[in-house]
Amino acid sequence: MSRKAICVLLIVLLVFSLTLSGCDNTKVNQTQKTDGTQQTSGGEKIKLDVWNCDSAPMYTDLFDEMLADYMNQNQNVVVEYTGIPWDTSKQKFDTAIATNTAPDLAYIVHSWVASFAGMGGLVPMDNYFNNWKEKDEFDLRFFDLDYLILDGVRYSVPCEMLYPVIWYRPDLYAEKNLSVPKDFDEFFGNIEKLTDKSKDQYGFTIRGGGGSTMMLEAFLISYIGADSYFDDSGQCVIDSPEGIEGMKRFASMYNKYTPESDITNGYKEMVAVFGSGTAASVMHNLTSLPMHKENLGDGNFSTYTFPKAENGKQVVCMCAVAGTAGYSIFKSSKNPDAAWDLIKFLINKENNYKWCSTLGVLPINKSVLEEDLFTDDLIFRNAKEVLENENITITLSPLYLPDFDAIHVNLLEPAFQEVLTGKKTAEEFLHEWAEAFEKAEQEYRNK
Amino acid sequence: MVKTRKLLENIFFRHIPLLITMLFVFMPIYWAMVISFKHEKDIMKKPVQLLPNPATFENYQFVWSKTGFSRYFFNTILVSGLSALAVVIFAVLVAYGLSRFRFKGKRSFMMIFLATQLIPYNMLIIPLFLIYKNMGIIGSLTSLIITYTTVFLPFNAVLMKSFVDGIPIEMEEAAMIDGCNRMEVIFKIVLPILAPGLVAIGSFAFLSSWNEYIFPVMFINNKDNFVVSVGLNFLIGQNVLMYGPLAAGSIIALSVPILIFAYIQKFLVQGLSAGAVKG
Repeated sequence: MSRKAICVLLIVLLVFSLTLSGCDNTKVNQTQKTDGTQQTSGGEKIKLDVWNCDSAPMYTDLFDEMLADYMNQNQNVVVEYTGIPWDTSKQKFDTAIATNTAPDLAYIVHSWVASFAGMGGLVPMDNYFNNWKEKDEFDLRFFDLDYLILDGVRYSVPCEMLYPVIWYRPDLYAEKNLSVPKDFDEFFGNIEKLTDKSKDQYGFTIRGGGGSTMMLEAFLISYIGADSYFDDSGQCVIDSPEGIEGMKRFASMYNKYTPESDITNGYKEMVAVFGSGTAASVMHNLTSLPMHKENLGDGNFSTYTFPKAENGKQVVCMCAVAGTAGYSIFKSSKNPDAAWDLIKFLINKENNYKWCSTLGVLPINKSVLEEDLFTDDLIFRNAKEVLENENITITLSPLYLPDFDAIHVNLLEPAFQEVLTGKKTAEEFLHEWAEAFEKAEQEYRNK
Repeated sequence: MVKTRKLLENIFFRHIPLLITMLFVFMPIYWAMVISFKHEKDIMKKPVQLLPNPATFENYQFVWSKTGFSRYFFNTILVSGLSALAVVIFAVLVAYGLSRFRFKGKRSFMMIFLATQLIPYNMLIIPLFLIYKNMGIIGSLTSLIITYTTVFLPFNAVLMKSFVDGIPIEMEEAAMIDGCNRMEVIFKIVLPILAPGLVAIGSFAFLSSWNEYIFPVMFINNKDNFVVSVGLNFLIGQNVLMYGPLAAGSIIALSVPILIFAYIQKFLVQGLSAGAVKG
């Protein structure tokens, strides 16, 4: 009898271990990953892993199409695509770099470049870029940004660019006989006039949750009319008297001309508040275009650029949530040359058009920017005009600072909520903000 | 008079609190269900529709076929099932040993065993990643099964120990006097009495594995090996949120835990309270 019991136990263990081995169906791929190549019956093929920092299905469709085209044209290359869920994407990349298991190349937001380069995870791309014959087809202003070239080394190339805009409801503006504001007094005045709390109608919605201060940064830089984030002496302009005034006016809108729930609203909640008609305007970049189309329907919304500051300058700030994004090659890649070849393909004219028209972003390929879509469509036309208007200054957030993300997420976002609830003054908040960035800038300059 | 008082007591102290609790619990599920059957354009529509009109299955179709949810669902069942099986087997062995044998360092072992539960999962990611990479199993479902078995075993083994403690040792002694050896005692006496405990622990382990997110998102790169918790997050992009498919995916992901809870809830309650009154 005891033998029978032992037999039963052994059988269970055997079945268990066999099942475990059976479900290990990626072992082959992982073994291949270590040498970066894949042996096939037809000979040796180059295997490239492509990651995307965002797993949204629209990206998957785009990549599936573009990568299939690439593999058709390059029969010796096998490309595997993986989208990473956005909320854990940075952590996943950090882990992959730390364990030397990063992909060959990836589409990443450019606020991560400094951090990845600091970890030694990225391949310098200068040689590739300098020898790239087609580079003049692109708007090189967006290739030479200070957060892409760190210590003189180029670590990423963009495939899109965008900047913050104000999305608004023209029908609600028309009802109140309002026009697009020319200065910030009109901006705040419009918001006040569009609010009717008794009807649950608000003039604006604030992003108070994740990503809040990155968007706020763009607002404050425009309000100040600053053409750089730091002055010549390295002082951050954010806590200048104009910045403090802008912050006070912005925070005073909360729960008066904006819904109370805004304090915890992240991107999706903010877009939903605008999409449901509860708020008449919202500040975001162009990428929310597909969501607005879905929620409000084509033609029921529009955009305007941040108005002129008191100093007479009209400034748009390319920040972490409204700047460039693009491709980098990772140190662990065994085929960086093939990875660069794929990057060139992914940003060529045809694919850049496909990418930008689907996602609602501006192309970096000059001829794509002249396509009908970008000259005829109102939203894109407004965006394009900013690029071409010499009176509008484009100011950059200091994305080259490796601590940029950490300062915003760990320090500024919770502090902003304290300002909204009145637990902290605008002055205290902006002084903390300026101090953190001045310290980071100093460390960066002294490196 | 007494009857009316009893009725009022019933209404105020039983029915109304239960109704309010039920509303709190069911509202999110109801709302997810309603959204999952709505067309995308109706989700944001004002006034809010309390029922989908017209209803559609397109969100379920999209999430099941287009996002690979069918594959993720199968993977999750496989990983959760095998992890639960492994946890149950090892938990029984550990619990029996701790309950029935005296050995040096037993208390320290228990302490260390439980202390492992205090380590945040995030701290384990890079060490485990490197171990699995060297073993050649990174990215496979095996890495998840091993991880889940390891991290869920201590709590469940200690829980199982309280079940084993509840079985009088005299029963085992009587069986041994009648000629049973240790294995026979375990298989013929202990395990049948432990059945509720096995179900409770198996379900705890299954549900914990089902809901776990951070390990699969970190260890798995091949989308063929993704699990449901990761699959749901695929629908939430930086700038895109697919409410309909997300709600449909949530309902699908919820279905298995709800069915399991419905079937084994009495064992779960028993499992949680086991050993609660022991000194």
